[in-house]
Amino acid sequence: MKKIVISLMTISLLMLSFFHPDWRLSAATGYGCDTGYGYGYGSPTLTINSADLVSNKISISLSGLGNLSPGPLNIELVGAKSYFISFENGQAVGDGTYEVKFDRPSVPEGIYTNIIATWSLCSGEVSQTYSLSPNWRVLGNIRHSQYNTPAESVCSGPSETAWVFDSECTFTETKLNSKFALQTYINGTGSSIQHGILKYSKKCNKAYPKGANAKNAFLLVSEITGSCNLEMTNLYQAAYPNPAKKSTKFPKCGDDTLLVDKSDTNFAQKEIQDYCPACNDGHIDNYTDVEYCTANQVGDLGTFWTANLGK
Amino acid sequence: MAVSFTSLAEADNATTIIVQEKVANGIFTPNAPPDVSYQDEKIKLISTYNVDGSITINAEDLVLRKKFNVRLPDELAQLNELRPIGDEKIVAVGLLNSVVSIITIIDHKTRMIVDKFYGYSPEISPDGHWIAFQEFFPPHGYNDISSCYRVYNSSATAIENRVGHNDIFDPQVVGTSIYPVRFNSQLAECGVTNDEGEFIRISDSFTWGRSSDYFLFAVGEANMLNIILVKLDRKNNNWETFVYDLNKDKNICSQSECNLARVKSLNLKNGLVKFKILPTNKGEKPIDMLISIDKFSLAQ
Repeated sequence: MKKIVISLMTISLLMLSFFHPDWRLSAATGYGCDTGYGYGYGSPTLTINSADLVSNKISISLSGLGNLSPGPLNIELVGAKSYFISFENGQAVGDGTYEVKFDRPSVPEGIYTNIIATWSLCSGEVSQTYSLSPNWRVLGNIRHSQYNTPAESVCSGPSETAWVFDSECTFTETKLNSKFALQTYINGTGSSIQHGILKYSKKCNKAYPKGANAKNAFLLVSEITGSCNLEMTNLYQAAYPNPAKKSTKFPKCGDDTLLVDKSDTNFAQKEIQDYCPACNDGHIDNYTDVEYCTANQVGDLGTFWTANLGK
Repeated sequence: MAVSFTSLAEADNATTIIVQEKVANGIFTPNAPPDVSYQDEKIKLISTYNVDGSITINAEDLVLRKKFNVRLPDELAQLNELRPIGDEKIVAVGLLNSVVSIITIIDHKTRMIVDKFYGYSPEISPDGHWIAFQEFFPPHGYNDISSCYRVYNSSATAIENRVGHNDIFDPQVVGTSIYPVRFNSQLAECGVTNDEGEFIRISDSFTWGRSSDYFLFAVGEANMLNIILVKLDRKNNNWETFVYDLNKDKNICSQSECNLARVKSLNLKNGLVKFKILPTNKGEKPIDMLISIDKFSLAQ
């Protein structure tokens, strides 16, 4: 009989323990509330102070833990897709300000609108939603090709008869290095020794002199500008669709882009300033001002995790 | 007129390829060129990058036990694919720069280059008879963009592939325009020259059927998202283009942004065109689509 009474008391105590709110949480999270400090509730608060993709820092302040047990901090990047990390691999954290880093190369392509940080404590969950403005538009791990303006000054070999023409379709016969003329035709622009910047154009093809064609007659232009009308530099990129077109919602002229390598180190920050009609496969073309004659020396920049940060 | 499925047969290649090293689209590393080679029971092809930057094909006729070399055009910066076309020709596909391809046709008997042309994303049919590609336009300087899709008949001569054209060495206007069909004369330039382009290709490339008698691709523009099926008749050197406007039927792309959609894994099997579509470039999950070829109609 005595044994039965003891057993019933034990079962009752176990049931009481199970239905205690802190026990339920610990069953779910694995973090017990019995800290040795006794039960009690603080006023825990969580504040997301800032979120910056370039420095890869999400600053989060946790406070008001009181005598509650520390709990794990989880961060979710929310958009069409979501990306979730547990700070310090899910270890419990107490009051303090923490710098959370994402493993950016593993953040999938998508537009992210908010960051939700959640601190799981015995007393319940404390969370805050932080609005990302502008939204983080992650392009994922994409190819970055390069293009330059072929320079006649570094082209070797013979010259050939060619023509240059102005916007009034006035043609001038000249000589251009053969390799340079071909590269200007293939590339679309070229920097000549005698005439400055030349551009492929069929604008005056009905007025071609005898012997002239699209491969040897080029439009004279004053500078190499992208579709956004700025002179191209090493920091500028070309993308699809045309950023200068009013109807294009993305990308726009002047959008900042961030390139991150596989080890999550920033490789470059650039700006969209040109149209790349052949980039409809999702890759980005990077302008480089290196003076080469052919494309042989202008290979791809590589594959980088890329985000468009807007303006 | 609906597309007839029975003619779109599947067939196995007669030639057994022993080795084929080729480069997937979208990599341009001319300073560290990838290995490209081909070997079947009749021919072995390897490539050599010369000190001056040019590329040479080293060929070995395994039947006649003869070796020969062919220097490829100087403007070729990176070789991506090598293969014979029947017993008569060899085709070399490579890149001029990061985005523009060059296709070189070599006569096996004379060991001479008999044609070359430029374009985007060329895809050779399994039997080597056809090469589908997007017409060349210079990629930088945003004028004169062409969205013309063509097919080159590799068994025909350079002149036959430029019917009515004044310049038989023109690398730009080559083959037959198969889409848009309003420019479907064999010789003519597509005429699509504006500062934005239209009928933007939204599939990565052209997908050939194993029988080489059809290929698929997709284009988008504003509210239109066309899946294109081109049927080719090798015997009569003829073709027909069939179109299905996915957006008209399924309202796939909102806000007139069909040119931002991406179509992947296009294929045709048992009368069904199967593919995945990403309606915008906003990182959504791809939608699996299955369209009966009965829905396709002859392009007007």
